Amino acid sequence: MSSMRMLQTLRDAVAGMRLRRGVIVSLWLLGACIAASPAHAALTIEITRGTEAALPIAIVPFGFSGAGATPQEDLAAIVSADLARTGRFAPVAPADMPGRPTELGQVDTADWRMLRTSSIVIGRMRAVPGGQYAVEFWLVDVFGGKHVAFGPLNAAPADLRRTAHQISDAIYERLTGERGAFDTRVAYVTEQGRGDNRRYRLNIADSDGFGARVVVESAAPIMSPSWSPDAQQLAYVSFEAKQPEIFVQDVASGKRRRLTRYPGLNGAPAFSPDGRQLALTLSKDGNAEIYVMDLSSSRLRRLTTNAAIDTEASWSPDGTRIVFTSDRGGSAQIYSVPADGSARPERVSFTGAYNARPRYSPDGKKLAMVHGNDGIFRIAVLDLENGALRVLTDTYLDESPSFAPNGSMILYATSSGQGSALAAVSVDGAVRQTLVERRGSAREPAWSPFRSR
Amino acid sequence: MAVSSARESIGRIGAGLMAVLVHAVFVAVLVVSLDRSSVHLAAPPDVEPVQAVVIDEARVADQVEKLKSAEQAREQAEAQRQRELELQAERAKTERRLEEERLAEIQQRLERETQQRTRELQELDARKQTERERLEAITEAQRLEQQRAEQQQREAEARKQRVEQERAQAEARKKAAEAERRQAEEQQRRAEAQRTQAEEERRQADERKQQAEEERRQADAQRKQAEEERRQADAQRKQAEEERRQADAQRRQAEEERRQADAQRKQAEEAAKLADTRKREAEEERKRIQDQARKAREAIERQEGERKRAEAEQRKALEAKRKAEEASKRAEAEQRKREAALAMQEALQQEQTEISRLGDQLLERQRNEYVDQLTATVERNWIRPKAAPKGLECTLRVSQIPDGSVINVQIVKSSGNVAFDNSCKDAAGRSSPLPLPKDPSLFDRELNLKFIPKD
Repeated sequence: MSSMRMLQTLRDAVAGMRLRRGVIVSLWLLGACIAASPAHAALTIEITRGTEAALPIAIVPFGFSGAGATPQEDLAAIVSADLARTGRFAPVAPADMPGRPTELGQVDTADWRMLRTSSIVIGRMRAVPGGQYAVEFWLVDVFGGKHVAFGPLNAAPADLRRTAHQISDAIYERLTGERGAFDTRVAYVTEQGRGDNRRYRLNIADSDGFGARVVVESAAPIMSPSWSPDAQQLAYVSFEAKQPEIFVQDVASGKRRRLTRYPGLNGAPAFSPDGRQLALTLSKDGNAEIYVMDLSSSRLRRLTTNAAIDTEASWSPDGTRIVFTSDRGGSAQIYSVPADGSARPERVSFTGAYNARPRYSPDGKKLAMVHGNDGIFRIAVLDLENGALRVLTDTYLDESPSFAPNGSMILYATSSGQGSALAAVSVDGAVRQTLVERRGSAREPAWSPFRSR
Repeated sequence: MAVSSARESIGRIGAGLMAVLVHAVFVAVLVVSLDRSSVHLAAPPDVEPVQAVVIDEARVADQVEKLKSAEQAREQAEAQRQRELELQAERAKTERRLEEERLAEIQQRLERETQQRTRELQELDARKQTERERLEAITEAQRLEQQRAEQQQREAEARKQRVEQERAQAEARKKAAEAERRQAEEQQRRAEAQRTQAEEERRQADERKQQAEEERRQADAQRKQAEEERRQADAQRKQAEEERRQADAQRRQAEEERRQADAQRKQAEEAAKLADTRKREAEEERKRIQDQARKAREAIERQEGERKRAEAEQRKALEAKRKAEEASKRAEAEQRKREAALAMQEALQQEQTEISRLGDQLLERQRNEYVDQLTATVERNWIRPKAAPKGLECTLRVSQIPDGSVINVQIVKSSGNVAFDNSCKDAAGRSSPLPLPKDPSLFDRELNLKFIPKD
């Protein structure tokens, strides 16, 4: 009995001790544990969630020094707009910037950390002899504390916009690992006026829609502009001779040559990736069929033989296949055929009642197309690897999809009651924006290949 | 049983009530139908629009007569129905009365049962009373038994007193013997012839002495018995001591007798002066008596020694017992001490295990907290690139200084996607300074950040 009581007392005492000294002893033990195992593995933290958002970036207005006129263009603003248009970057407005450094030594990264900006771009222009500007810029990694220097690039005052796009390309490539497509151009057709005053124009503009200039102007319709792989030439259809003819025109010089003038249809020209051949649609043999013309010899090779309409050819990037639109199945669908005609065409689009005007993506894995349903036409992307079709737009009359040369965006025309405008959508459909607003209508856009640097 | 019968009777009452209710409803239905029939009776005057245009008087009279008789027949039929209804009502009333009577009967039975139950309860009380009385009788018997035991004890004491009285008588006899001895001495002084008588008397005295010794032996036996009893109870031991004192008294008495014997010897020597022959004999006699007395004394001493030895042994036994008890107590205490020490050791061991477990737990918890904080911080700061392919994974090695500031970020395993890798590096940089662990020992200059989106 008493021994039991004694035990109880003992336990109580021990418990008290535990309470009082538990923490201290535990800490001591902890220390002992740590000391006993000095070679423990580094902690690994698994990060599974993040905010999917545009990357904050600051393009600080460039500085200018030297004699001569102050540059007309705000390069930083052009770069900011370029990056913003991709939907992947969120440039900081100059008003929100904690400073306006133009040299590395002026950058206080602590200030920029507050903005959560991971990268800032600073730059400066100097007037150099010959009326040009020398542009230098730096991409600063705010958190890593490192930087990359670019330039100097020499540019005439008239070329400053292009220089800005080149800066955008450099930054984009540095931050995403993909080549930028800012220093590219778009071709498109506009239609203005009524009756005898109606004018059709083939235009070329920078990828941001600025710097537009007319390449061809006509009272008769102009259609289907198509870039040569070197981005120097445009093939197009003109009705100026009261019948469709296919021309190839040098963009820089404006010189052109007529390629075809066959009876019936002459349409939908498409340069082969090597630039030596042109796929086109002709009805000279009684029905619209796909032909391939050797550009050096002008010899034609018929690719399709079918009672239905076959048109709107597009070359695969490796030049081995041609996809086209055909209603041989009863409605317009996409078919694929070896470019050498070694096999019969096979259907590749199976989703929806209407799929037309295919364009290969630069990596050859996807097709952009017009996807129609009940009189509504939208831009869709077909994944050639798994056959999945994804509709990217939500407007009603979208046409002429065209991949940016880096495959990140698709340019297309969208029509509304007021007319039609150019628009771009990211390949995942996340970012959509109207590219340029123009009076009248802009149609049949074509995004140029990369320009030689 | 009483309960079940009560339940049964309650059931019966319920059934009775149900029956009454049903009858009441029946009567109510009857009354309502009566009411309606009266409405029917009132109706005919309204519903007799005569639209005939016949002029034939006889036919009219005939018709009227027919109507009258029809009316009469209807009234009779109605009256008949009325009577039947009244009869039915009467029957219902009778049945209700019968039901009430049955109810009353049930109630009476219930009362009878209640009375029966009360009687049973009274009987139970009576039985309880009897039982109580029996218990009292038993208690009384026990009391009487106790009294008898006490009586016996008293009788035993009385016997003991009787023995003592007898002993006292023996003493009285001894005194008488002395008187006789004195007579003998007188006779010795007078004449030798008388000496034989004295010897005779001495012999008698010896005999008495033996008797006394016998009595002493008896007393000793009693004392032993008393000692036995003393082991059982202290009171008896006191009694035994009392007996021992008595035995002492007897011894003193014996000495007294010896002194008397000496006196007799002196008388004899005086007598010897008168007659030498007798003197020698008297001397011898004296020696003999002395010898006998010595022997008696020795016997008494022997007895005393034995008693003392017995007492010593008893003391020794008691001492041994006490020692044994002490030893056992000591052993017990030792055992308790050992147990306590063992328990203490066990408790200490448990405590140590517990502490180490708590330490591990705390470490684990703090590490988890630290990991959670790091995860939350980096995730908050991770701006994932838009339009990035699925299934990308990037691992960074982050170096920090003790204030949590990130001083270096290194890609250990690239995702292969520049934008993704950059976003991870940015997240690490944006998270600087990183949260610090509660326990500085958990801090590590190097951390691995594994970016692996789950969606």
